[in-house]
Amino acid sequence: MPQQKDNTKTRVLIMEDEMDMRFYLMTMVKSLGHEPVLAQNGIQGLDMLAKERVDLIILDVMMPEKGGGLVYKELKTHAVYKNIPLIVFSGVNQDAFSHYVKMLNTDPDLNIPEPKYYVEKSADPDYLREVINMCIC
Amino acid sequence: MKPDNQNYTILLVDDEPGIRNVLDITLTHAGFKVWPASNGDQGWDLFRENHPDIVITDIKMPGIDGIDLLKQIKEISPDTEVIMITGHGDMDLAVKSLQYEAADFITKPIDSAEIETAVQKAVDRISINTRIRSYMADLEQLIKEKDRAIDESRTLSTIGQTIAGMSHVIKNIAGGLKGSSFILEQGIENENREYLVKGWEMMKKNIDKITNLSLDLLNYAKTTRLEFKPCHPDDPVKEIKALLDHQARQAGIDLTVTLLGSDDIRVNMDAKAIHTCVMNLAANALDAFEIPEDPEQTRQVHVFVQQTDDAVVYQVHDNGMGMNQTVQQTVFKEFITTKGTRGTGFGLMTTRKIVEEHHGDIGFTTREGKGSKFWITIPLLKKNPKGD
Repeated sequence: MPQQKDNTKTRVLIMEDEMDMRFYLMTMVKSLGHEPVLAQNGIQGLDMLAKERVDLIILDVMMPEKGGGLVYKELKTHAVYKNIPLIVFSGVNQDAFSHYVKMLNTDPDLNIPEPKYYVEKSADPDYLREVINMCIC
Repeated sequence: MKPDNQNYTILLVDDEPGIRNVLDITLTHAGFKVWPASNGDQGWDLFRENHPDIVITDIKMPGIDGIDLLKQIKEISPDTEVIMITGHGDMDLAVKSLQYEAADFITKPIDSAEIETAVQKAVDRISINTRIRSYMADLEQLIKEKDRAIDESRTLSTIGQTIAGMSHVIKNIAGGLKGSSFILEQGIENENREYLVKGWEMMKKNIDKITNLSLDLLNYAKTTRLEFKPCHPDDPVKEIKALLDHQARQAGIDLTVTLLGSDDIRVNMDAKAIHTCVMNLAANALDAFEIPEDPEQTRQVHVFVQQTDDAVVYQVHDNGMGMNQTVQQTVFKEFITTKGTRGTGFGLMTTRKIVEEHHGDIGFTTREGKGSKFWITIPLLKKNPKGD
């Protein structure tokens, strides 16, 4: 599907490996009047970040190749990317992800914040919409 | 006289009445119950009748001699303490009786202190052995109880894991259903046909998934009540090709099956459950190929039945993607699925459980990018079943 570049719209980068979920997130983002940018994995997502302006990132955790955990670490240690609002959207529960972040921070050079917005995949679409709205205002 | 001695009985065999009488009086006075016998045959009869704890026998006797009597007694009652009476120059016989596990010797002429010491030692050994046996029995009982406790806790933790895994699977399905219903709503609201088609497809996939989950749960539950019957090991595999042929052809996979063929072999198993196992492995193999198709590759899945000396081996080979380290480590343990929305992660867990119930083995080798080989062994039906 052709993605129109519209510089007035908010751009939301979606990193999600499952096609169905990607389509769901795309539909959600479009329904809110924003422009979705789709990536099938972390590597693609980071490439797109380098090329385009992104106002919000929605990140899946369980992805093949470069998993969401590593992408999260890379984003939060990057001088520019760390300030882009980010929603972790995952089948993994939040406790497990928090634990992962704590493990990362055992490295004294790192001080990675826990995700501010965490939505589990089974959450209601209304809730996800609310969280997206909260991030973009 | 020791009061303990009343609990012990002695068979006394000697063809010389003088010695027999002296020993009888000495031992009876010491508190033992004594059966005197004047030759080996009588001694053997009395032994079988009364099962004495201790036997004192002369080595040299007409008829059955002391060595023969010792052998016969040790054969049916290895724990009986047998003390041999030897004369001067009976050294060879004494050594021979040692080989047959005589407990002790006393030499003629008999000294009453010597006989009491020998008998006392025998009594001590019997009492120690009895105590050891009772400790061993206690220990075995204790081990059994601990084993049972461990089994129970294992079952409980498996149930815990099962429930945790199930909730994860169900949560994923719920997420999929919510997502698809949102897409459908958007499709209806905006009269967007693409949304409607996509949303509906996604919903159908999740409905399939919940149907599969309930089937998988049913299969898993069935593993607790398998019915073992002697079966031909080819039987469970025969239908699999027919069932999977269509799916394989659609995916461009060459599915081949090699059977044992011979008629005379039987394995004690639940053919339906083994069918489930091989089916799971074969279905996994069909899912092990990259999407989209690599035009260079001939996609192959080969199921075969083989026989070794003591087992039947089912093997499923594919030349698909193979598995990475993380998948390999958890493949039988958890509700792992690499199939995105399609898998529930129950298949291999159920397979392993069924194989374990058959006292069999399951394993695999895999190379990323090269393919995987899964195998199951089921022990052959033993001709003389012993124990369990």
